[in-house]
Amino acid sequence: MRSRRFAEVLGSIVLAAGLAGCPSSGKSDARPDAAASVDAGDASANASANANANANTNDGKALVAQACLSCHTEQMLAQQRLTQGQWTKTVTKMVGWSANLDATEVAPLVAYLSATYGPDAGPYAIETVAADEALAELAPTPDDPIPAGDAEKGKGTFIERCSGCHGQDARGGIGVLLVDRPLLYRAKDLAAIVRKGRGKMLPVRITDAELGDVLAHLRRLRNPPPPPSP
Amino acid sequence: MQAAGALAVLRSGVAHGGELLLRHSGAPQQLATPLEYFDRAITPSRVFFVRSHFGPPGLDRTRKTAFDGMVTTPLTLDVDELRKSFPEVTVTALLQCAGNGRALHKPRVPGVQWVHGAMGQATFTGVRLRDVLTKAGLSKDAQYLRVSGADAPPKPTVPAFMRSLPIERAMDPTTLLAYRMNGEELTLAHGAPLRLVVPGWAGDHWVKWLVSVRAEKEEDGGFFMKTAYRMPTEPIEPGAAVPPEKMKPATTFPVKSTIARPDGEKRPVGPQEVTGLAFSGVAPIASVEVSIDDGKTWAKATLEGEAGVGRAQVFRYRFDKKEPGRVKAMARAKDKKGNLQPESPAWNPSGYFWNGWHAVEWEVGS
Repeated sequence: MRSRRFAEVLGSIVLAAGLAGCPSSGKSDARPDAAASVDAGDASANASANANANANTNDGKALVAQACLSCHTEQMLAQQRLTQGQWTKTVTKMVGWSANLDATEVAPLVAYLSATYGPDAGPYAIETVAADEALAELAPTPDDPIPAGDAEKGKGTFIERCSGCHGQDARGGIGVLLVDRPLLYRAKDLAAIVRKGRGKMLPVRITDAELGDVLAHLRRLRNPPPPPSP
Repeated sequence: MQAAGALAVLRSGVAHGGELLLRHSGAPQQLATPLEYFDRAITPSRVFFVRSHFGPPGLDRTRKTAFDGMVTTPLTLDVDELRKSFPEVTVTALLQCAGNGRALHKPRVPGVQWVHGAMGQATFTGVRLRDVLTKAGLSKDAQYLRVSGADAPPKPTVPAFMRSLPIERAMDPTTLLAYRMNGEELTLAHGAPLRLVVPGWAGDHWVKWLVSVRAEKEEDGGFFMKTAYRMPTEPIEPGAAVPPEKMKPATTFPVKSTIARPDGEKRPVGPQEVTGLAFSGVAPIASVEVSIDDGKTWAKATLEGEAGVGRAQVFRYRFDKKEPGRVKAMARAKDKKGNLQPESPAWNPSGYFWNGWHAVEWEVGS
């Protein structure tokens, strides 16, 4: 049953792609390979180029984690097959929207994304998720062991320890929005992120009681109505 | 060659209860419906595609929606108050993301790489938007409704998602403020407690987690109206840049058919059946034709269910395959305004509204 499902989706995709008029020698194939610079030279040059490529890959992955993954998961990048020009445009847009990236980090990130998720990167494997699991990902979970807290105390803790990145009103800055989100009702997941760190966020030492206070504060907040039209 | 641009489905190692969605992104959830569910008029809610820009807000069934701006009596109502104050209506409509089929456009463009599954049909129950606007005393000078949800962007520098819906479309009797889907309370992923339903129009107009409906004179000037969700006003070369003045908002989705079955698995010699969904956001479906000889000849499929604008009908084509061999079937739909599903649709910079002929292949054995 399942394998049929996969064959079905895959078959239809390939067929439909064919019908849509896949370029036989079109733009995507004519694009110079971003990894081509590694091809030339003698063995030692090759080895050093490979070492550089590995370093660039590691740097690229770190930049992705820092700049991209606090707002969306990596699948959003991995399914793309974009040229360097398209990646430049996309990254520039995201930097304009406050992705955590310094000016000097834009080019390396674009280079990494173009080399990894360029037009010639090959087929992308779409994952599957059980319907129950998709529902459960958004559903509230018991707060235990995070205790019910004091909102006013939580406000103080939040301002002191979280607002530098997440903003005084918790609407995001270096960190992301913490107002009116399903994660606030999944205390254990939230605690794990806070204590482990994520993207640019370093692990935070915080007690269950302090976290309970901060949650009590955050849960009472709502986003303001949309601003007037420009 | 095709493989380079195609998408494949990874076999998940995790045991599951049977129903699967295709996960284009974990967070925010971007989930597609597998093709096999398009063999029936109603897509089950559990496998109904999920898409939003920022992910849902917290679940709050008492959340209120403000109806204000150019009205004489601003109203702020929750679902209970809406139900008590206005007649309840149910519509059956196809919901499709503007980017459904984006992965099939060549050259590729950025965005969620949907293939066929960013669509589904459901019954939506709620009250008519026009009833609420009439009670609020909508000004005759209002031209647009600026609608937005509680799903705030991850950072204040990211533009908030919203749509400007032309008043004429807002006042259409099929435009609903819906709180139920397929007979059940809306789930959070589908917009609980309240979402817009705009049959025939791309999914971005069906704003979820609705909190603000503001009557205005002008179309909104922000990113989501002036940059995103726009289509070229005239045909362009694939890959070409389009000047902003030659772009307009993407609204109604074009005529399309999608084959659900056969699903690629070997079938015995004898009767064969091609089944799927056909719909148009512009007019009811007039016909669906199926070809099993690579487009040389086409035969009419039967249509089931009620016809309507933005409403999908099931099509079915039966034929006999007496000898073993490979079969390829293609479908194309026509709507009652004479629009014909193209073999290969025009490319556009955001990869919207792919509606080319869909083909499936399978092996017939003895």
